[in-house]
Amino acid sequence: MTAPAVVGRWVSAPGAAEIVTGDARYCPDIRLPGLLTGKLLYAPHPRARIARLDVGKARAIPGVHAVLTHADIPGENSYLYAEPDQPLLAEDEVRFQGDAVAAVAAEDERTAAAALAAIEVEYEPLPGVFDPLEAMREDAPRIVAGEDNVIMREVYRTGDVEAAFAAADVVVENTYRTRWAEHAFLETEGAVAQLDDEGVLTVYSSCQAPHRDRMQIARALGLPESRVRVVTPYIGGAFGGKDEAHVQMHAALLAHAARRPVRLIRDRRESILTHVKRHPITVECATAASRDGRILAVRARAIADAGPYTNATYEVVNKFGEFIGGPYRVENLEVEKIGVRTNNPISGAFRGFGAPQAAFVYESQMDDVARELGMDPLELRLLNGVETGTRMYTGVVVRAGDAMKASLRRAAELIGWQGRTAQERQPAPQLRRGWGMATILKGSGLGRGLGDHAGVVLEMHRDASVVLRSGAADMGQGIVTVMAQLAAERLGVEYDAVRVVRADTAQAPDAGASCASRQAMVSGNAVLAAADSIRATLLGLAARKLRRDQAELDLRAGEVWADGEPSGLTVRELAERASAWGYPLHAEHVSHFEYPPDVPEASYRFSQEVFQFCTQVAQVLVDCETGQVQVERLVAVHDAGRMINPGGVYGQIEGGLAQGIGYALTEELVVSEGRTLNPSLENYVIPMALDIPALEMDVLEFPEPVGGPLGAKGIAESPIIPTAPAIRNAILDAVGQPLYELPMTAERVLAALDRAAPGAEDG
Amino acid sequence: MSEMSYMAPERLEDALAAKAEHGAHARVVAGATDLILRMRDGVLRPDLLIDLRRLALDAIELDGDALRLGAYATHGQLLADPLVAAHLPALRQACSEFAGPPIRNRGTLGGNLVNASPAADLVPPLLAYDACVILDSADGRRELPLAAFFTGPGQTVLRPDEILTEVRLPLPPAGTGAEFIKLGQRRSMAISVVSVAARLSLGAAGEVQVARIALGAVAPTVVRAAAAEEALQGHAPDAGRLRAAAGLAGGAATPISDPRASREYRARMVPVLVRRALEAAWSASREAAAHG
Repeated sequence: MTAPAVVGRWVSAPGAAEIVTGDARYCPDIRLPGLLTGKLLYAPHPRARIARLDVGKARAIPGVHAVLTHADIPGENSYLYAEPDQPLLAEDEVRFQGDAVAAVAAEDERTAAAALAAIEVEYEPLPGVFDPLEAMREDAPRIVAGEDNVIMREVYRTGDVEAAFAAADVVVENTYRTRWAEHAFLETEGAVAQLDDEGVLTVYSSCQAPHRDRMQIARALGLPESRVRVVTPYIGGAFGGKDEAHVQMHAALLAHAARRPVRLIRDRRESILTHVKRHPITVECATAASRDGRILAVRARAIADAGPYTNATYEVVNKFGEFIGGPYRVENLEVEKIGVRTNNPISGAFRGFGAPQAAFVYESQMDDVARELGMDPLELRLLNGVETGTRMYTGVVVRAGDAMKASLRRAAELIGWQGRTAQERQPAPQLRRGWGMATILKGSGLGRGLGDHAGVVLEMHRDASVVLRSGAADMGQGIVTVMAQLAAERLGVEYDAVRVVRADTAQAPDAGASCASRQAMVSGNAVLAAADSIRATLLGLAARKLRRDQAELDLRAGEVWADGEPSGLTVRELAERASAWGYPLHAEHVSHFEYPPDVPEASYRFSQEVFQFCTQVAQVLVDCETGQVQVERLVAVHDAGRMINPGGVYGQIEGGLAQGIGYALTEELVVSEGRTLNPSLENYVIPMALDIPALEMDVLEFPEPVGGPLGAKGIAESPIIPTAPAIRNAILDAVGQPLYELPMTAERVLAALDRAAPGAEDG
Repeated sequence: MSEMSYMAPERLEDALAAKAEHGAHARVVAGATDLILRMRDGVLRPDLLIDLRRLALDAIELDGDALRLGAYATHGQLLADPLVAAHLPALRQACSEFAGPPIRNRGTLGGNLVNASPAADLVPPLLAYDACVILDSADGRRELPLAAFFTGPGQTVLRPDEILTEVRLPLPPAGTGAEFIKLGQRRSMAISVVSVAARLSLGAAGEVQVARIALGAVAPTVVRAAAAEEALQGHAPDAGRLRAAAGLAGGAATPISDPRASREYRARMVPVLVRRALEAAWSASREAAAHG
């Protein structure tokens, strides 16, 4: 077959012009006749009993159309990401600062604010539990009545860890701490709900999982799902923070009660206080190595702070454990995974899903081991890295692992890993420069044994224009572009002949959540299969018309090609013929994430088996007097299997690197006794353009043999994962001091320097 | 909730008359980059907004041996102005590190002062240059040293009937060098964790005739480090003397902890940044003396 015509080309996203000019409509831009403003009343205490809740005065305010408490919810009063333990509106107790107590809908913003102020709530503050270790004690108060504070506690073991440690020449043992991190998506959470004349509730939702939202909305209202429709307008970023539903159910409840459309948008403060954060995890980790640099064993114990509710804690902490050995051949591994309830901010999905915390630990350990052995960190990684065919500590056999070492070598080449002069290392008395690397793997898909599928509907019209309907939410990551390219490729039409309908549950089948780097693969495969069905119709007609064997024909750029040449017969003529005579130009397909049946089942539960490999190398300049770290260079080499839309791939990498710099150095939700002290983007410090160096990126293409559409695989999560440990290792290289806590703020860097030279504090 | 009135008078007298009438219930609007946030958060609920935009208060000009900076001049205007570049490089530096271009193009000099944040970026260099503020009211005009203007975080001696209209600075003498250093959590759009401005004016023999050191974000207001200034006065500097003076500067700092930094970190940064600012100012002043 000839080279692809559309796949692999840099194309702009459908709607790119509208997005750039501000014409694209996001939730807050939706205008409907009679639209009301919705608002939620949030708890002022991280833990308190609700002694009295009276909304009478609020209801009496003119212009207030609905005031709801838990008692007004006709269906189930809970979210349902995993466990139904988080109420939509608190009943007898609030358990963190993000718990909502009441919902109002009013004519305008001001009236809604007045209604919130008129709600009378008497709280009896209760002593909160803010330390996971304390929450784990037998006598600790139960965060959720009737539920254990320990959400999960599992141990995974492989090999003989004790023996390996006993036989080791070197053991490196450290305790790591990571903190809550905020997604800081441009568009805060929002939803607009409208009840139509036929009793159907339409909810416009800034989300990652429209079909799961539909289920949750129906469940809260006690309606059949057939009466709920979820539509995704343009979505301004999510990164896992909109994986779970947020205000969709509240907006729907208000619209249902008020019989008027309701728009409910969280402001930035509410957004930061309420939605899930990246789990803070405290990890004790020990790594055993032989003198010649073989990693013999890894032992880790991780305690993650879940906040009060289950949400994605089980899955995130499980993924943490799945990657704690890194992309290395580790035959003996033991990881204890613990997730604990507290009255702190709620934790959940965030790009990487536990893997960034794991990578910070295992890649820091690798550099500490290298120092202990006096070995080049690059050599240590090359010596231990997985390859194609390696059976990992999870039991998973790596099917395409050549990118692991290839990315290491390429990244080392791009940065110029060897040979630094003293002048480079210390350009001024107080300045130290260093280089550090991190290499990771991250799986795509939800994991073996979990329902992981996506459906699409594809239709070609008589003029050969194409409509593609998918339930996959595009939050800016570009799945819409990828699907359009794959459809165009297979149907032999131009990219812009394919119109993708933004995810709408009334028009498209469930594609699952846009998470876990899965949509390009699972929805991509569904598009290919649906397109191939229509392609078969077209090629069948072409074969008859041209009197050729179908196998000799191809569809390309609007024409039928035979023997590598355009035949003169167009796809449009074929489409007209098919329409006229009733040949099918319509196809639906549901694809399942593929796990090859010929490998043994992995011993790690819900293991992922398609891996994103990548290596990043950072060059940093450390000011030893102020502790400030400047990232001067950042090299990123990523394996995408095969790029469908290169612009999208590079965009994912750029964005992940920027987020990674923030996670490494400045992003810290400052929480004291369950209260967030910096709920604004003024004081929650994400990097800006000047904090990000010119990024040096390269993409490797090692096609994925099974389950990747045309060899492509997910790329969404890996870019953020190695950045923090690469920067950490660069700081270590620069100043000779290891850090074990994120973010590595100027104060923490100075504290590390003080450990090296006690008393040397004078400027 | 009450309604709010708005006016954009064309004559200063009208603005002052309105301020005399409404006092604290009237707020002056310039760039509104702080005011809007405070109104949105309900901290300020003015009845009347008096917009200065038609009053042509943004002139930056030389008046004999003084520089006059109109209160309505934006950070962007100050940054682009040749007089500021020639005579007030530390102020220019502060403008360049203030927020980002969109806010620099809205936020004004007067707003930065009246807002009275201890972390206000323009205040340390203005103190180092011995700036005065002109406060106008229907009753007349007051001229005060900037050092006497601030009384606490968000607090000034500005009366409810007054409007800050201008900042005046003596032209720095020949042989002057100055530096502004801002320590923030990122390189733009950052609120200062600590900021320092230092100015040295050298005499013919290289001795310090004037030393000014101002510290931001380490006390309830921006403060001068008087003991450090005195230690330099009259002496020809060397690296050791600058370092010693920097060590004394810490005495003027009484920092607090907040989500941006701990008290200890701020206190520790004062001598570091003062030493760096003094070194740079000394180097610039020697160069100025050589070429002046």
